[in-house]
Parts: sequence; C-alpha cells; structure tokens
Amino acid sequence: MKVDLTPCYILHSRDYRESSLILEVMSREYGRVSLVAKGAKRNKKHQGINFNLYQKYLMSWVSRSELGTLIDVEIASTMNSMSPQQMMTGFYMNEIVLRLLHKHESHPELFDSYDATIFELAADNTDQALLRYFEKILLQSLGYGVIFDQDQSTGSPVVAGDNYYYKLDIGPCSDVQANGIVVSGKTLIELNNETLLDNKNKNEAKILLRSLLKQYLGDKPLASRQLYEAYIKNKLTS
Amino acid sequence: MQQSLLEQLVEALRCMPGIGRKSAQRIAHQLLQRNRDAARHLSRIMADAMQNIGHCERCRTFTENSLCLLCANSKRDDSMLCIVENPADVDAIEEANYRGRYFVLLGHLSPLDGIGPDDIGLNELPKLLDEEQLAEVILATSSTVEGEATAHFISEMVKARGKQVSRIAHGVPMGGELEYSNSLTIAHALDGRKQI
Repeated sequence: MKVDLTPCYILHSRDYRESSLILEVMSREYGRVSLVAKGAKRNKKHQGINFNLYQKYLMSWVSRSELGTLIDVEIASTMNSMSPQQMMTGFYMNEIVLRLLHKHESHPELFDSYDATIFELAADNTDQALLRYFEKILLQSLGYGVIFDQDQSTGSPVVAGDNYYYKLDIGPCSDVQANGIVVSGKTLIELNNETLLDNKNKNEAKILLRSLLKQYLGDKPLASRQLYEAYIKNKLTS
Repeated sequence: MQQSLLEQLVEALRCMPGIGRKSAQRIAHQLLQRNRDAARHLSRIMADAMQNIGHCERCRTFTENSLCLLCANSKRDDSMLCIVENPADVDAIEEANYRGRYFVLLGHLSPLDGIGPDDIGLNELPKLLDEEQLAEVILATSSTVEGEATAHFISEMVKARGKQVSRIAHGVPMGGELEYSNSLTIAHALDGRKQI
C-alpha cells in the first residue's frame, strides 16, 4: 500500500539501527501505523526535518507488512513551544492513545480532537476540560459506547438538576439501587455538549472519565501520570 | 546440533550496533585470515573494559575509576555544570572548548519508555547542585520534546537553589542556509535571536 502526504502526529519514536527511527504515528485517514524513518537521525534524507511530538506532519509511506517505510514528510503547521505542564499533558494523551487505539483503525474524529487539543495546549490554554473532551471522544471512537445524555433506568434524557449514579458498563441511572459513581446531571450534559464551566463539574467529569478509562487501560499504571506527579512534587519540594 | 566456533564468533559479533549477519561474517573472516593479533588484543581489551568500566561517581559518565578524568581534574571550572544526555555529548562539548563540569543523564525523561526522573540520575543531581562554587547550570539536552521536558524538570531543581540556569541555543546550524532550513528550525532561531 502506498499513502500520499496524509496528516499525521507522532505519538512515540524510538531509535532503530544506527541512524533511523521507528515512529508510532496516528494518521487521520489510516489510523495508527508504525513507520521506519530511515536516516532520520542523520537529518539529511528528509530535508533536515526533525521528528517531534505534538507537531503535525504530512507523511507519505509504503507498507508491505506491519511496518511501513516513510518516504516523504512535510511539516503541516508550525507550532509554538509548549510549557512543561502542557508537554506532560501531551505525554498523557499519547500514552492513552497508544494503549487503547488498535493499529490500522481509522478514526478521523479522534485525530481532529487530538489536533484541536494539541493546538489549544500549544496556545497555553490550561483549561482541564480540554482533556476531558479528548478522553470522551477517545472512548466514543473506540466504540465503547459511553452514554452521558440518557438516563438508563427510565430511558428519558438526563436532567441538569438531578443526580445520577453512573454504572461504568451501562451509563447514568437515576435509580438509587444502581450503585455507581455519583455525578450530577449538569456535569453529564456539559460533558456531552463540551461546555464544562465550573470546577465542581470539571472535577466530577474527571473522576467519571478516569474510572471509565481505567476499565479499558487495566491495572498497569500510566507512566505519564507518574511523571506528572513527580514533576509537581519536584516543583513543590525543590 | 552444536554450532562451530566460527559460527559462534559470527553470532557474537552481531551484538554490535549496525552489524548484521553478512558484516559479522566478513569481520570474522578478515580477522582470522589476516589480523589475529589485533583480534586477540581486541578480545583482551573488550573483556577488561566490560569487567572494569563503570560509572563516574560524580557525573555518571563511563570510567574505570571512581571519578572520571574530567571530574578528577582540579583545573576545571567548578562554577559551571553542563548537563548532557550521553557520554558522547561530553566529547562533543569538550571539542567546543567548554571547561566546566559535567553531569551525564544517560537518557532523557520518556514516560512511554518507562524512563522516569530516577532512571536518569536526577536523585543524584541535588548534591552537585548544592555545591557552593556552582553558579550556573547549562542544559544541553536534545531539542526533542522529551529533551525539553527533561530540561524543564531540571531547571526547576536549579532555580529552587537560586542558581542561574540556561539552555543551549537551538536554530539554524553554522554554515546553514535559511532557504534549506525547515520552518520549525527557523521559528526556533527567531525565538532565540539576540542583539548584536
């Protein structure tokens, strides 16, 4: 298969042989792919282009097997440098995508959400709701069918003034017997419409999405979260 | 079936970076045919080095002593500490006439590879940062996102001690032409412009 200049982000790269890299790439049209960038570290072959995270590229590649070969690359948009906190957030996004997204499954809506979130991070937008919307779209794209807007006990729409019990495998239930994570209707509606405003609702959404993600991520801790915690601790103690 | 000694040699040579089966075979034949003395010498040195080379107690670079030659040298400038990712970076910076001290991380922060602060020796760094003569820390990690994150992490540690911290410049290389540089490099160069 040959792919021509398609929008991509690099999620992770590792050294391969003397001067090459293996890139884990999320492309808009072809999903997650692994590509060899030959001679990438020698910096000559690809017009001196560096392969960096959080930078949108247009990539061309050929693939006969699981591992493709990068044949052309262009920079799609210039990005300003990120603050350390935003870099750590990006590490988190990359890690959950790498852990959850299967190879060769195309999810343009997830790519667009990633693209928009990275853009906001680079613009130094520190609103934590950004990450919630990305997590929501990731779960929805992966086909886990998460529901935020319909009461699963009665089938009627979620009401802002009510409290719900969110059962991870079912959705929000108004039935007290449901025994799930308590979350307000307002949070559910705002999360669904991507209009989270108050910190209280943002925190509720954070707890809810973290529990939802944990179901699929499994027990292995997220290395990016550990690094973020170490970073904050280092900042506070030193 | 047991491998012949020659096969074992070829197989063993393949552990070197960039050496595949064919190259390993060529090297083995060449050494056996024409250069057995050099090969014997290599094997002695190799065994000796693998046995005795460890890490410098101060800067973590490779050395067979408790302190490397650079750290043991009392003529070096104690007021400057340059932090690099690899021992090879030390050699590169030495060639550029830097005369201060070094600290070698042996990697960079990379959560997705499971490399955290302690894996790159940041738990050993505070004792160097607390030294009284130290005035400035130069962060010479690579200009990748991981290198930047590492630099920021360390800069917080340095700033908390009230010492100066700087990052090496990134941008258009010496002798490079703007026309052939990519937009990202030029953006960096513009950001880091200085008055003349």
